[in-house]
Amino acid sequence: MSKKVLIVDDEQDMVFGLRMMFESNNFEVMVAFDGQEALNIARQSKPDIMILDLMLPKVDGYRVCRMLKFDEKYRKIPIVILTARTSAEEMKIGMDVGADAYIVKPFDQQVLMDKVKALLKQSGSSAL
Amino acid sequence: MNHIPDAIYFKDIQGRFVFINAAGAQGLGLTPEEVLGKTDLDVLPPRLAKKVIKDSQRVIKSGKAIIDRVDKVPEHSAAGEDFYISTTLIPRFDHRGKCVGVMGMARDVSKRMQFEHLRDKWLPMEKKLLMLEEMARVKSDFISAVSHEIRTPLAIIKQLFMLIYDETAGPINNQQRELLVKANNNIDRLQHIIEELLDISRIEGQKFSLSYSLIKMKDFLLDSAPFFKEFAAEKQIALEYRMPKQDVAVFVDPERVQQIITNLINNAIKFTPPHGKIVVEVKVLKSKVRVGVLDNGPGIPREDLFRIFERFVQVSTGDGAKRKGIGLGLPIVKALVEKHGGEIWVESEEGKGSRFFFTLPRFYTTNILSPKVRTKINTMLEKRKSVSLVNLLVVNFEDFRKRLDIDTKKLFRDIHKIVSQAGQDAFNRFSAGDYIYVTNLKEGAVSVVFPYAVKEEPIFCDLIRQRVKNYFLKNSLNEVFMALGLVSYTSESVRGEFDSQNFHIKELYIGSEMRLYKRVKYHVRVCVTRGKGENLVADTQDLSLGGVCLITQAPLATDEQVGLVVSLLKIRKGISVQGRVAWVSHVEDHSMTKFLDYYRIGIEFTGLDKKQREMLAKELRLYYE
Repeated sequence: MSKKVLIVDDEQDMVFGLRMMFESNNFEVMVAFDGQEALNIARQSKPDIMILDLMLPKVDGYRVCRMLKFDEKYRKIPIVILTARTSAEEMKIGMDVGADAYIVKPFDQQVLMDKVKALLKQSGSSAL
Repeated sequence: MNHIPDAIYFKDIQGRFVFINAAGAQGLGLTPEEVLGKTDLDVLPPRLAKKVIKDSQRVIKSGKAIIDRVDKVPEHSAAGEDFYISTTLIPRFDHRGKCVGVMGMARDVSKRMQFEHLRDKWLPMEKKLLMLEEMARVKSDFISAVSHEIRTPLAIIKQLFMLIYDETAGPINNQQRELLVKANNNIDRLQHIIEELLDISRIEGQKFSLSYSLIKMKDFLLDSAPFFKEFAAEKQIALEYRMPKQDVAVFVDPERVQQIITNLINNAIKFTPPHGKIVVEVKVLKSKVRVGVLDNGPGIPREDLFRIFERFVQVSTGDGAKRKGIGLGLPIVKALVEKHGGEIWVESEEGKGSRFFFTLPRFYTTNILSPKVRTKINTMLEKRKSVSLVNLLVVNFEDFRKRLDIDTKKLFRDIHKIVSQAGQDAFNRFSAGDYIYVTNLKEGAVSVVFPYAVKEEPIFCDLIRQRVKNYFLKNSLNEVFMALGLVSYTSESVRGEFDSQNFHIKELYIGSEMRLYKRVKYHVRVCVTRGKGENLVADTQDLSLGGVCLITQAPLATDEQVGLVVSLLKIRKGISVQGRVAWVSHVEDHSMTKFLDYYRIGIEFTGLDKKQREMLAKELRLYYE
């Protein structure tokens, strides 16, 4: 059974690229372009993993992450923060809100996929 | 009134002087008696008299005063200098309201006018200067603010690009692959350039600050050694690390220091031909740690040597290595080293390789929190809402102990007393049971953990600081430099077992924070003797028991042994000592109209004998506050 990934980013082209990458790795892809949409979809469809950008309209990435991670029902969903923000403080905040990984854009596709696979393995699902 | 430097006088309605003070009379070249009863026409040159009379009459007729009117006096103007007088004329009335005359004051305001003229010239310049500074700041902040905007499209391009290149979007032929590889290299290049630009603008921006922690230099560098060795091995270059026997602690921003060392080693690898050799050496100096990256590559041509730390300067690589950045690597490294308070310099000769050196401030104490203190803190955190830790560290404790006349146990008992008294004075509710006091006699640390945060804490620290300082002074510890530094650590550097919001740490250091010996500003000519009998004359900038800082026109070689003859001005004796060059700093002074380049050179005394040491100590004591 293929894994479900929820991709959250307000840049359409970015989402396009990520979608292609995940689909070619046999993932079922869901997308959201703002924080509110991300929360709705995550709660409704419970993805196996989330790729989350930080700069989002409506509800920003930090809050999305925090809200899901502090909720008993959804905290098991691994969240990978994927962002262009690089400072050490921001990385720390990312960890503080419970993100499972923090990857900086521009990123290496292989690095991202490896991380995703490792996190899926950890959360008890079998890797692809 | 006769003591006032301004001329003061009273005239009646007819314009006759009824009173004039000494200064006024003097100004007319007469005595007061000679002036009384006379009119302006009698005592002043005609043109001036007519003017003055007109003023007086106007004041009398209108009843309105003239206050501080400044006039230029052409007749009295010396060549090139203008003479200005400020006139004040006030009508005088009797009790019936009838005008009976005027009171006048005259003051020489030439100096004031001179100043005002200068200020008028200076104000627009100052405005321009402020504007330039503001522009630089805005530019830096602007670049930082848009960095996210710049990175995003770049990341997208790279992403979509990779999807074609790794054939996710379908197979590609060789020609396409070749084009893509070249395009990708240029994307990387662009990325590199942008990162450098963003980095240097961030470093120079308003909000830049270093995040300090205490690291052990040897461990720190050896950590990344395997990675660099492998990288060098790809080009068949041997990379060797020369480390001191004992590790040394430095107080720096580890991420940035990693950036510095990475840049220098990468450069060395880039510019050294295959089968070459690179050495990373760490030398522990008295108050600094010096790191050197030495290679046996082609060296740097003399004309480029001085420009190498300037922006956008790219030195030709000889073997045609591809240029990735825009020549900001070394300027960034220099900015970072200097933000740490260190120096960076290079020695190189064509055909003889290059040696890059940088220094970092040294720290004399060991690990901050002992396990005992940690457990206590955790216990408190479990019970209370917030906890503060004030850590008193006797820096360079071993050395410190040798010089003390007091038993160490007594010392810490005394400090305990001082701290608890300070606590009672600073906090209203401080009582013995409230705080946890831990001493670590071996390392010379005293920690106080108490359950209140922030507000009174600075007062507490200040009281401790003052009183401990007085305590040491009373116990006459002369040669030890007493600098009670105050450093605040974020709890991250404590390796986060603690809940970051509730834990505050303040550290107080007793002893020398960064310098083993107290330096005094000292200006005297010295004669420096070099190896081959060459002599040069230099000026000193500062002096300490450990060494001297010289200002010279030409550099000396790092680690060079020199002889110095220093005249000690106050005790009127000269000493002839040996020293070794510890660090070299190239300074460009483009202030005013001078274009001066000079070198600041740190020299450590090697082998001072007892007598010389005593003389030097005596001299220095006379300069201590």
